[in-house]
Amino acid sequence: MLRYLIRRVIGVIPVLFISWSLIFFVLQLTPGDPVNLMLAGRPASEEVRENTRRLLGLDKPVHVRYINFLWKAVRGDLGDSYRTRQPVITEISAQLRPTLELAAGGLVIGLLFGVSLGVLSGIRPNSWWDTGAMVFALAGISMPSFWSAMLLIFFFGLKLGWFPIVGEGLPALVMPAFTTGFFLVGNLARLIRSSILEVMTEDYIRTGRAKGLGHWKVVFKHALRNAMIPPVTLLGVQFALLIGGAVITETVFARPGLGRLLVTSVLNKDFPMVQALVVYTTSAYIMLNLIVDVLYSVIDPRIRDARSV
Amino acid sequence: MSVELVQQTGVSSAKPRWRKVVRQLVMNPGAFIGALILLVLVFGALFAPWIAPYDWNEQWVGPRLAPPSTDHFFGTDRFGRDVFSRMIYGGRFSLSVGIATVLFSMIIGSLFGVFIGYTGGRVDHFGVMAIDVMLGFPPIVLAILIVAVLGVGLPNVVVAVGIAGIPRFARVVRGATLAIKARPFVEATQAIGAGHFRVMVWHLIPNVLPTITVLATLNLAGAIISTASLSFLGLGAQPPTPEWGAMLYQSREFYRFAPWNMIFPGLALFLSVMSVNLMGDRLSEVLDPRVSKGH
Amino acid sequence: MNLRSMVLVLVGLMFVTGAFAQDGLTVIWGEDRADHATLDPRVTQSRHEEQMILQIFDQLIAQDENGNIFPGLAESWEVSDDGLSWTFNLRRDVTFHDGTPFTAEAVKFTFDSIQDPELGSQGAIDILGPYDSTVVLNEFTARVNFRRPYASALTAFTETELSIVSPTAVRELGNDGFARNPVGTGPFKFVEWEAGLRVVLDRNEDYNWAPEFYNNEGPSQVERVILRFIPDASTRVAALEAGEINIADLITPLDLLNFESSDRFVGQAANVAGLPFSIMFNTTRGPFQDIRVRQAFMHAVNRPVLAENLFFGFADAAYGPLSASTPSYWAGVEELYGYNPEGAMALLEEAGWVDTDGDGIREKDGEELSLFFPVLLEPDTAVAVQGEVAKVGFDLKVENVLKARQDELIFANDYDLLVIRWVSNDPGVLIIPFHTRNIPAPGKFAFNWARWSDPTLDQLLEDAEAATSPDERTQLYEEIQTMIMDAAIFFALHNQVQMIGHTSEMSGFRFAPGNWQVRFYDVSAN
Repeated sequence: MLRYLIRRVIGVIPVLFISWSLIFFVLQLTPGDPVNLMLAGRPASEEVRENTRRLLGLDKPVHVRYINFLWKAVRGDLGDSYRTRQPVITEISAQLRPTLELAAGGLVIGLLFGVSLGVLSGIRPNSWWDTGAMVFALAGISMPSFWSAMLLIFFFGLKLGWFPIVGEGLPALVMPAFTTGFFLVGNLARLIRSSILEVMTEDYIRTGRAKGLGHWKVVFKHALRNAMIPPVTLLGVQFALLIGGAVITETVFARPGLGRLLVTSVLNKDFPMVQALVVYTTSAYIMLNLIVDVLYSVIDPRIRDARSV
Repeated sequence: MSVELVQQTGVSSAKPRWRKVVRQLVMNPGAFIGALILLVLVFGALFAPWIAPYDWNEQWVGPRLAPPSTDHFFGTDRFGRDVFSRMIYGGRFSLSVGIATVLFSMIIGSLFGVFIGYTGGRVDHFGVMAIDVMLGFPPIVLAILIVAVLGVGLPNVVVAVGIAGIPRFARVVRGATLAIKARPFVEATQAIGAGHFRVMVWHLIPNVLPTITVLATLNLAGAIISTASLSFLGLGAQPPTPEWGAMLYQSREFYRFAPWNMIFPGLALFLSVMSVNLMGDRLSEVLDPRVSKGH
Repeated sequence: MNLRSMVLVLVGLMFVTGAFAQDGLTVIWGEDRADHATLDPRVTQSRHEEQMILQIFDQLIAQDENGNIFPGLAESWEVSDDGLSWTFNLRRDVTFHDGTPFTAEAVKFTFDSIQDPELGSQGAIDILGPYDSTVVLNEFTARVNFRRPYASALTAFTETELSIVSPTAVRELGNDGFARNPVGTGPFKFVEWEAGLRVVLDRNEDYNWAPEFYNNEGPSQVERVILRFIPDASTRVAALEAGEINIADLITPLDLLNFESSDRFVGQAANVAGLPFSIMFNTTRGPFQDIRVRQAFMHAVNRPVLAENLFFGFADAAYGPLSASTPSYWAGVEELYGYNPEGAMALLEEAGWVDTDGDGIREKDGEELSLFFPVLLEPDTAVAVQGEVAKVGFDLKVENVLKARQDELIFANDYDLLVIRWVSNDPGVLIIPFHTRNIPAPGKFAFNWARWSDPTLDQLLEDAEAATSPDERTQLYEEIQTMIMDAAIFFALHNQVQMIGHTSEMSGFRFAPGNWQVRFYDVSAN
């Protein structure tokens, strides 16, 4: 087990290294003089421009900057924002909480509705319940989140006035959480349904039934528990979808957060900020997937063995 | 379910496979509805000049922000443009951009997958690592990063979303390539020393085609949403392009007074994504059960 | 007074003070732009940043929304006969939020530091005009010297950009630090700024030097000011209606109409003085090098209809480089470049632009009449113009951009037209977008986006700035406006209009001079 863990953790290092390098070089390709961006259009003497250039380390050749970037990134220093001239980490940490709240809200909605719909249709396949739940799930994965957000705002925010559109606290989180979670609802419901259908054909279920256990007992004691494993392990992948959802949701609801920060930084050409945000989300994503893998291998050792082949 | 099973086993393998697939698609109510909706939307986009009652870009063909009526089925926007006409033409952008994006990912991804799988050794090792790295980026983040470099605009969005979609194709095709390469007949041709690569590709194509088709269909739904999302964020289509995401972007200031500016383009987007998903679901059942499980 | 009544009075007093402490108002301002970069008045040129700067700082001379002049931080002032020096007698009872006493030294420090290239002033540097030096005559008397007479000086000293900053704070924090922790003498003091989220200000309890045009005296009744960034107008209004904010800027005309019949909300619209919302033609590249193409463009747009369509009657069409409410406005501009699509087409034909392939877009020498139009402000106005000029054969390529991209395009001279607007109560503003010295270059940000260089115009602009008599000034500015119109480099579209909506539970929201920013000092509960 320990060997597996060590191997997986070491395996992540080159992936992180390459992805950070990729981000660095991709942003080097970008047209535009960083000095101009840093000065944000301020009139500046040649001296000031040279100072800024030195400050940004642009007087050094690319490979030196690259090594500097990696060395600093490892220690958590990703430079200063062109726009605010503050360390990027300041703004990122300020906007981390609202995004985490949103992601958590989306996850709660997704699990709550996704699991119940999936179970509902899984244990009663081809019923009206099933059809209804699957149509709903299909809508969930097919609806562009900016459209569902606008519909929610229009009907529940503006027309009915049930939920606040902006603001802090739980009530204001309801509609954004639904927007972000809707996709997850659809995805999870479909996964769980097919997982249950598959489990129901397994031998031990049949054995259980043959032994005279009640239908519901079989369903709840055996089928559900086993059917949950594959969808839950996909939660790592779902995280990426939540991030994608956050970009849109935060923009429509004018919520602060990392997603909106990413979009405005791209539009503002604030490259240190873009670089830092991509480095962090990518690293978080990779690490999360690693954790899920490791946890899963604890639950089900077959995975570990299969991967080591 | 049971009916389908009978069909699947009942149809003799003597019939051409693709005809069978099409039949199985059409016989499924979900896929049938999907195909029907998609046909309507595509038809609308193709024959837009004959269907649209007004010029999509002509301002003041009606009063501003007029509600739906017999003159303007879906109302008008704040420039007095006909929302219905714009929506019909919008399909030309939204749908073709989605398709272009998937083709981009598919072609580059497949070539890459064949290349590393076939070459093997160190190339394969680093190729797999590259795929892992790219899969490490949440797709929309990667697409936004690429737009940051290339600049805004619809063509750049195609490239950005297309690049973000490459690794999934590359992974599948590489896997298939490895499997084919291991088969005895490939080694045999190698022994003869002629047309080795050609033989392999020849065997590869029919083998990966079903998987690729399913993957492309499933990706198409995502691509339509992603490209529209980028337009909605102001990174994609620029005015006056009636791309659906851009239409929603433009409706934002006034949609509380004129919701039809938001509802109809969104509905078109939703319906097209849904119908592609419906067909993708059925296709994956028919063609490649593995893919449907993995996603 | 017996014991009983004393107790009563005491209890009453406690009640009153307790009540005051409790219902200290909080004003929450919903702001449309989230890209604030500085809160240093000496640096900013953004009206959005000034919305907060305005509450934190005072100026030497105060001006109300109607353009009347009042003593500000200076109790009185004298101008020398040659117009070159201004002597200010300063108030003696003013302190900065950090406890630093306000003295002549602070005035000198502020104005001198604006000249320092290290600061990177964008707005103040122009507004300070031909500044030479400040001499500290004694602790509370400062004399500002100009190199030549400066006719706009009076208005200049009222502008937010020339607010007096705390020298101690700047020295302590450095310029960049000060930009994020501004320290002034105003009715509100800076508390915190979370980039992209909010800016918070608290009441300055020591404030006792409000200009006399305010109804209020002493500390404001508003205890706390919060600025929240809400980019979408519809979301901003929804937040206002839900009570999440008390006042929203830049609401839509339909909301304004809505509020007219509401007793919960009040809408206020104001025409803004200065440069109207306008297009500047890049005269150094592409088709716009030809004056006939520029003229044709102007003739192709029906401005009164455009303004009505976009603003539902709340904003008027504009015709020249100054909006009608700005002093020295020359009404002659209204007769020029009226709507005349046939004339526009004739001009284009004459200039050699003909639609040969029947696609509706004109060509010349194989080049299409395509023009690149990066749009930072009012994207809808750009779409309306795009539709209008398409009718005579222009292909306008609109791209919605943010400031960083626009800056880059300006440096690289990579645009055919740009939109501009400027809040100012003084015709002296014209030197900013029309003087040769303000043509941008790589790394040099300036506002002559037409890149128009005319020595005669430069001379007139300088003369007007130095004019000593009001008549001479008006005369010169009329000449300047005529020249700009003749050159067809500036295409005014509509008067800027600020539309705010606020709750009817509060009143006393007052526009700052120029009618864009809103001052919160006077706000009280109804």
